[in-house]
Amino acid sequence: MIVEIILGAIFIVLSLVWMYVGIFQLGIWVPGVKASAGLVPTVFAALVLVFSVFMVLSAVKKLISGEKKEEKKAISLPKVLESILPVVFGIVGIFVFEYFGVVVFTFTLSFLWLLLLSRKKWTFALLVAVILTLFIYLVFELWLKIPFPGRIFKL
Amino acid sequence: MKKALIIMIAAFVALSCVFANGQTESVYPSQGIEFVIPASAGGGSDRMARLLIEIIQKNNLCPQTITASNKAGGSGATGQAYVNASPNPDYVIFTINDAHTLGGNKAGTIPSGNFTQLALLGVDEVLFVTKGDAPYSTMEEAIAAIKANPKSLVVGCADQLDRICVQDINASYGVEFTDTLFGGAGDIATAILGGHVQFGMFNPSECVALINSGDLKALALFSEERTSVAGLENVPTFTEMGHPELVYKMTRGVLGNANMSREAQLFWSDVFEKVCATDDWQKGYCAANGVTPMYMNCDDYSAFYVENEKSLLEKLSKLPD
Amino acid sequence: MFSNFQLLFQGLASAATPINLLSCLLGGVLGLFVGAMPGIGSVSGCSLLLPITYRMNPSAAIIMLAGIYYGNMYGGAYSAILLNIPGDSPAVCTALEGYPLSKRGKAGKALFTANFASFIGGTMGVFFLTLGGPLLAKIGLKFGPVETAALVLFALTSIGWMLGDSPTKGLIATGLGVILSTIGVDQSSGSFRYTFGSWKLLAGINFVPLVIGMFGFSQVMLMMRDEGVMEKAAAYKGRLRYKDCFLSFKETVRLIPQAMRDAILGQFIGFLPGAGGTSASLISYMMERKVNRNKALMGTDEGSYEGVVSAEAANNAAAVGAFVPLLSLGIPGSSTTAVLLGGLMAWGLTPGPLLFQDQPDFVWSLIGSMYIGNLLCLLFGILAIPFILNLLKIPNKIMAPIIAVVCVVGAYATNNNMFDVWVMLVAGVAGYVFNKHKVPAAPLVLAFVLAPIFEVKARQALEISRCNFSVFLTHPISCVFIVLTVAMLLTPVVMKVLKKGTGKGK
Repeated sequence: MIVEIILGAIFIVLSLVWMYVGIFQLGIWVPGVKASAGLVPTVFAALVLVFSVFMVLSAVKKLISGEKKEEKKAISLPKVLESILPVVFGIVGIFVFEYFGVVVFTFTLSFLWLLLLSRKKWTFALLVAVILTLFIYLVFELWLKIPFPGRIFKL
Repeated sequence: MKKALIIMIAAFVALSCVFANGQTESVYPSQGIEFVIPASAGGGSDRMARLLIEIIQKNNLCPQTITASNKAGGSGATGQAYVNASPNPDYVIFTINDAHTLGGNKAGTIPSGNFTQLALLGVDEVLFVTKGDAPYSTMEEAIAAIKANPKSLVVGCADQLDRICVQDINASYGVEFTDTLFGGAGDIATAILGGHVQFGMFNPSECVALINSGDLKALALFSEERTSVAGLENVPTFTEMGHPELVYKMTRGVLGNANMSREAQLFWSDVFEKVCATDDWQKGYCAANGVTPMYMNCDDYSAFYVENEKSLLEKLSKLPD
Repeated sequence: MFSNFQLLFQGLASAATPINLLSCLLGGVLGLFVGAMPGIGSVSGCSLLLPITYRMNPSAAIIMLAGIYYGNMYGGAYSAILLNIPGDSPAVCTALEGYPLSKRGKAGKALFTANFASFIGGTMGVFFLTLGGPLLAKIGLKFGPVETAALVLFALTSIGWMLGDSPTKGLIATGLGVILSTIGVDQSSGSFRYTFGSWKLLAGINFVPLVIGMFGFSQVMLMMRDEGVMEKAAAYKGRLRYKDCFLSFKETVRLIPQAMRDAILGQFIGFLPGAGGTSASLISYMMERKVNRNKALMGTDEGSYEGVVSAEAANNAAAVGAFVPLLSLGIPGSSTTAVLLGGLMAWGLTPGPLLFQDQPDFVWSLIGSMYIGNLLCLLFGILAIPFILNLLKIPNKIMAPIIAVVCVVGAYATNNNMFDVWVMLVAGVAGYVFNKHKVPAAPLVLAFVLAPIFEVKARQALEISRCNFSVFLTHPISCVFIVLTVAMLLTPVVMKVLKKGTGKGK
């Protein structure tokens, strides 16, 4: 429920920003000539605003009324970590991708992920990491010749 | 076991840091060059850029590899911003045409004149075109029609440049054509053929096939002299029709990052001079696409570019948004 | 018309030469492979594979290129059905209806259905192309900004079918999709919107990274919590039975009429410049939800074969349909065909009205190869099913990092842009949160794709008519679509009122 309220709040802020820019900077209408750039964004931002408010209100209502009935699900730390770690790995991984190139990225990400997050044996993780890296290298780097950033194997 | 692992990973990372630094030599060019194409794959700018690379490599004009990289978006603005932000100013170049110059300026994030000019390659004519079976067979008839019914006839435009041309026509003849933006020449052609708009602005390569088949006809050319592009020899120019101020040629050139060294600039100016002299360019690209080859070296082009941009921006500011 | 069939036979003969056959095969298989990879959409797929064709002679090259093109369409269904990652916007419906089938253990049958529907769609598309490409092109021209805007509006209402349990959240998702799509260049005025001074936002948010993130990376996060295909399908463990890889003869035959009508619909929408595969698959999906015998099965959490058929048949027919304006007028009907146009011109071929007249051998051998190619893709697609089903045996936690890597690489490969990769990650987190809180992702993505098309066309229509709204009703084609849209929107309301009425009457 709390997350819904936070989400709703984010949407409300977003839609307000969109409407502000749409109305004051982009303009809505030039009568007899055309519809301006701000029309569609403002209309749909208004849609998001209205329904987000609705969503927040109903979430608040449920929170207040249902609080006594719902058993507080214990939010254990491991569970939260389980959801966040892939994202953290993703963020670090993207930096590695940008500065060290696709080969290093693929190898380290898959290896460390399998080892630490998926809790597999390091021999297995190594094998999969090597195969995947080889695949990505062959298909994307050698064959499709995509100019990846920070390449160390400059061809 | 784990220790060995950690050492392995550390070694890998360390090694990659060493390699990532690159060599440091002093003869230009000492690294591979990135040729940025501020348009998506398959389009006109893309084909031209890739052909240029091919010609350079075929004739061994550059000792390092040139990699093409598409950075489409924002009417060229994304590609320009990318070049501007590059940490390697001597090793990234890109193609420019007038539509992109306007696009970049309209983005507001790129101050004008913020690039190093390398070479001018050619110019593209601009045509005023209508449907093959339209009731107007000359420009005069079209003008008469719009005078009778102001704002009722629409000209399809692909970018701000085309809109500037339409505004110029309006000013010069004292009429009021309505202009509307389409995504590209293809969309304009479709709209004309379907009867949804009456006129359109095109470069020769975008309409010559349809003109030759009779689906479209060109009413006027924004030029002083008639063009020699096959199929368009009979298109009258605005100058002939008494409006010599309606001359417009879209320029196509190559630019580099603002901080590019003089040495690099001279290198490319030279390379492109040789490219423009080749048959592959003159006949293979220009003649086939109705582009008039015109080379200017970096210094001449710099002066030209600044002037050109100034006049374009002036006209842009007069456009109703 | 009959001379066309004569020309077709000649074309088939020349398409069947060893070199051309090989190019066709290679193109189709490559296209299938690249299209199936999660994260590489058909546009990226085609532009990445285009350079391979540069070294070949023109007719073999174009045959290969065409193979790559529709191969991508066949392949897009794989990642949609197996991983819930649509490769391009038409595959969103395939993912919606096909992925739940996978979860129930019916992945093999779903893939077979998708292949089969794609084959019918593609072949019928080529058939129409044979009958009269240039003629169809002329019909397509009748759709100007006004008509196209009305059509896309109609397609947009199909989103109403996907709102899920909570219409509020569904509508928020739709609105968000539209809002996100407004970032970047505004095509109608050339100015920039919502870039907040950042040059990275100039190009706006790209569709492919958004989809990869929202469907793909969020899947990765779900997989790490052991939710996803494996959780529900014990059927994938143990030995595979051949039965699992095909539909029975009866089931297949039952789907044919539906596939054919969806293909016809897809073909007609496909050659409308600007509308494209997304509108085709959505409108086809909508139509089936109204008229199909088994419509109750569609749109449920269980997925349905009918849904997969509607999306895939229309999608492939539309892909072939996009060739119509390309070959007849030299005007690409979609961004993927724009890439193909570039390829064609690189070999000195100028697609345009004179192409059919001046170079009939070339055109007809291309068309001939498309029949062959569709057949080859069908065969390969089906043969691949048993192998692919084995992939499904891989536990979630091992698949997750592999898919994560492919997501990052695929997001980058679209436009060689690091920003896209970050978009992918953010979209992934957002998609995960949305999933947990029942905010549906499909409306967001579909609105994201369709709203800009609608906006551009509607504003063009208004500019041309100088803000005269009545044009939408005075143009006959547009009027039809507007009426259909209103009908679609009002039907649920009207039904409710009628039901109440009869209830009271009792």
